[in-house]
Amino acid sequence: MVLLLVLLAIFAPLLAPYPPDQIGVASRLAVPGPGHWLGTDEFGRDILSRIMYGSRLTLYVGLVAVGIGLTCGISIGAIAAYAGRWLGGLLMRAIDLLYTFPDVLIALGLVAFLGPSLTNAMIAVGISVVPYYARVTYAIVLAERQKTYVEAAQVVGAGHARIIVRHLLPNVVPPMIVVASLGFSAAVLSAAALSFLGLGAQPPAAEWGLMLATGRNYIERAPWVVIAPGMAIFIAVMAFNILGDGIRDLLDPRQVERTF
Amino acid sequence: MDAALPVSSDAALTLSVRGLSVSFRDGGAQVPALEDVSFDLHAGEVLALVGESGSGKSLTALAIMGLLPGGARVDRGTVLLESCDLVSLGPREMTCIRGDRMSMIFQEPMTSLNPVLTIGRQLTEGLEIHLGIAVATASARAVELLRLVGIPSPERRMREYPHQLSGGMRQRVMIAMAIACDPKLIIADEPTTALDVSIQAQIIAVLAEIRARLGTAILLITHDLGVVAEMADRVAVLYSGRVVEVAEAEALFDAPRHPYTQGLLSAMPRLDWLAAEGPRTRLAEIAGVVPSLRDRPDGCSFWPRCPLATEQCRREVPPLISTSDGRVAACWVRQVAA
Amino acid sequence: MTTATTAIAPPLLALTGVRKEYVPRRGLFGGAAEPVRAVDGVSLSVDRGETLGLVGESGCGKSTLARIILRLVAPSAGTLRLDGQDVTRLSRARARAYRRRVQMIFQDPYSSLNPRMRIDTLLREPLLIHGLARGGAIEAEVERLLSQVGLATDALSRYPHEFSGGQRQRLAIARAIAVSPEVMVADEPVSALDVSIRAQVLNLLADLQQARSLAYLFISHDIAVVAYLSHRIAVMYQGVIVETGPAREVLRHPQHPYTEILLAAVPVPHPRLRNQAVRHPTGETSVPHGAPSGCRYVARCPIMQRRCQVEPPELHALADGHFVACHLR
Repeated sequence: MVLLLVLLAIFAPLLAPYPPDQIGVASRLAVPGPGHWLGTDEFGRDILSRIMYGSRLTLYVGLVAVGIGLTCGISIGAIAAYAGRWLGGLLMRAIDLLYTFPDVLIALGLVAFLGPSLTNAMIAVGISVVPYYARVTYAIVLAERQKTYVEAAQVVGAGHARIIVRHLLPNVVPPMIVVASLGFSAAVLSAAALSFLGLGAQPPAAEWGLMLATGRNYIERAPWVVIAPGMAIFIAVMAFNILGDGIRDLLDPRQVERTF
Repeated sequence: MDAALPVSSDAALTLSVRGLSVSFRDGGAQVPALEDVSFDLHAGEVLALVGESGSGKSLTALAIMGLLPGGARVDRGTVLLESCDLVSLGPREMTCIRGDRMSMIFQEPMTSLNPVLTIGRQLTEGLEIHLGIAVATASARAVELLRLVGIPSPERRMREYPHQLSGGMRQRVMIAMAIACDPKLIIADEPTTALDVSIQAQIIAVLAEIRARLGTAILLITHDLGVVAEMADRVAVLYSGRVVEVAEAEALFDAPRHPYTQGLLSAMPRLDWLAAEGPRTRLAEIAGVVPSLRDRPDGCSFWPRCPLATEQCRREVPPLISTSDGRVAACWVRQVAA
Repeated sequence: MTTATTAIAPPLLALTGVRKEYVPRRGLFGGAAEPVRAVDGVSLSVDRGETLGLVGESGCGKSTLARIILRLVAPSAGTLRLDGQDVTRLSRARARAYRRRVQMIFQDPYSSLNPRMRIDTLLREPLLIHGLARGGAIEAEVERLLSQVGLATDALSRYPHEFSGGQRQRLAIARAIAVSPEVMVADEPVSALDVSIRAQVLNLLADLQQARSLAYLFISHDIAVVAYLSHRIAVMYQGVIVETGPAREVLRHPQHPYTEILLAAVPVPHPRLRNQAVRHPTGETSVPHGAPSGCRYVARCPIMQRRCQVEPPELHALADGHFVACHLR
């Protein structure tokens, strides 16, 4: 399902029946049917094509936002858990403070500060999820650190850097990938929300949240203008959640031996 | 098959397991975990079910209790608890029997006690459910039970929580809970494994006392031959899901019949040899590894590790039969009396 | 015990007055947290080719002691000497050199091998860290290690979870001997293993000791297992050594009442011996808080006297090399 989405994004220019910005005055708010499978919007742009192009933005936004969140989150969480004592405590208290605010609120504040644009929205969403990733990483690293193999590595003579990079990270990253793929959908949703509020992508970009926002004026006359991007967001979020579950099952090399 | 297990005791038969086979789902296939397990347990008797990891000893206990984990199921066989076939009972009837006519003691007393309830509450709960007696009577009985398992100042302990007790005390509480409704059968799954050596001896003594006083039959599940030597009357040895030998405890330690039993006994470090004069003897080893249930060898499961294995052992599963000298073992080579 | 003159070579590994205190974390409402003395003034030594068996029950401080020797935990007081040199505090480079000489086998072979590392990588790691082999020589060395612990080379490309407990413990042993250590600390190395596998690993340890004249500190709660490998035995109770001496001497003539109880609690080897043994030691170990005024064993001791409650007993010699910390012996 995600693969389909990715393929769609990559080959959008080939698959889309129309360019996303092609305005057709004659066919404004056309009813879905042959010619325009999902109808057209207020400027007569083909909604199917815009959804297809929108998938590129969506994936891009998700990727960048999760990338930022994951990188910063893993670093902060891992350092906090490994360092322990006061540095770890300090970092985690700071993270806890951020964690008390809803993600979207942080993102909103950041965008207000940076100015509305898609790039800033991505950065904002990315930063807003850092506390989440940091917390999860912290918990995982803390649990892994307790395991004897860390001590065993120390005994063999491995230094801190080696223990973190060679021993801890390989055990921390896979579960984090699962967390990230689940977080991807949240990031997509946040970015769409920001765009919806006019703080993210700016018209005439083909972004799902934005399409939803501009389309809502016509909701009574042409509900398909809203339904299509709404469904697209829903499907994308679902797809990534399912992917996350799949990866979780796949990534565990310890195919749990069942011993009775 | 029944003929192979001579009824040696006059005491009433408490538990009779016949041809019990259990398998569990692994991917798409059913992997047999227990094959044709049979044994008897009489009132007031301690039968030790000895085996290593993967032998199926704990699974046998769970099958008897009707507590098989998800994915595992009983394929064949009967489990008679005083002439009532437990395999055919529904979940609700099993719930009535569990805790009442049979009960279980687990290895880890910390996780099997509810940490947020007082000792008293956990003890009286079972009494109220199964015996339907009043709260006051129940708590009087609970104090009596705690005293029976050797817990000092039981009235005070009644008000304490599990974390306030040491490991040995918690195991005593578990035993008290197990005997609360005067069961016919107690299944003790590695009751001493998680405890310190000196506490182990105390718990063994408590169990022996209970058996002597209440005449309860005890199915002792263990990997530790020392515990077997301490308290078992008879022993059934399990290997890779099959019973390979059944014997009176003394006879088993005197002259084990199955090569696996023999190997186990001689691989045990023994203090009496070590304190003796002369150079230290090397421990006898059983070569190889314990087979996993998924790739159990054809024929006798033990043949890849067996010093006596023959061509027949590799092809055919030896049946559990008794030899002319009254010993019961599943071995092609040792079929003829020694 | 500390009267080693210069004429006698110092023991390979020697601990003097080692102590470790933990300050328990305070509860929400403070409350004076007294430090817990996990290890309280332990002195012991191990020589080349010798096994010192350390027996004690859970919580007696034996695992903390192992971690102190491996420098995973810093002692609160006392010194650690290797070949007579003080190694209690070391620079980073010298700490690494120390790790080449002192290694450890852990109790649980399921968690002591990194589950995401192939056996190949696991065995190469110590060689690489200490620069013991290069290029093709590494491969040869890794294969040699495997064969020394009785495993086939097809193990190399597999992951730890594909092996049974006994095989994993062999792998852990291979990893520990990779750097050719002189001292090996084994913390309950067989207690997580199946009975039929234990003898294999115990024999492997004995063989390695012979081949490499390794010094073992063999830690276990199981006195029968300790007795099998040990030349000398030390019995630990609540952070202190209460008795130490030649293995046979301690087993045959235990002096400390605690040693007696430990021996009495060992299950009989045959059902027929059941009723002959002295039975039913009572009482249980509790965690020591602060410094007790007298002997730590008073709460459980059957022969306790007034003096024991006020004056902590020192280890004193009874016979050649046999020491006991009891006022009454």
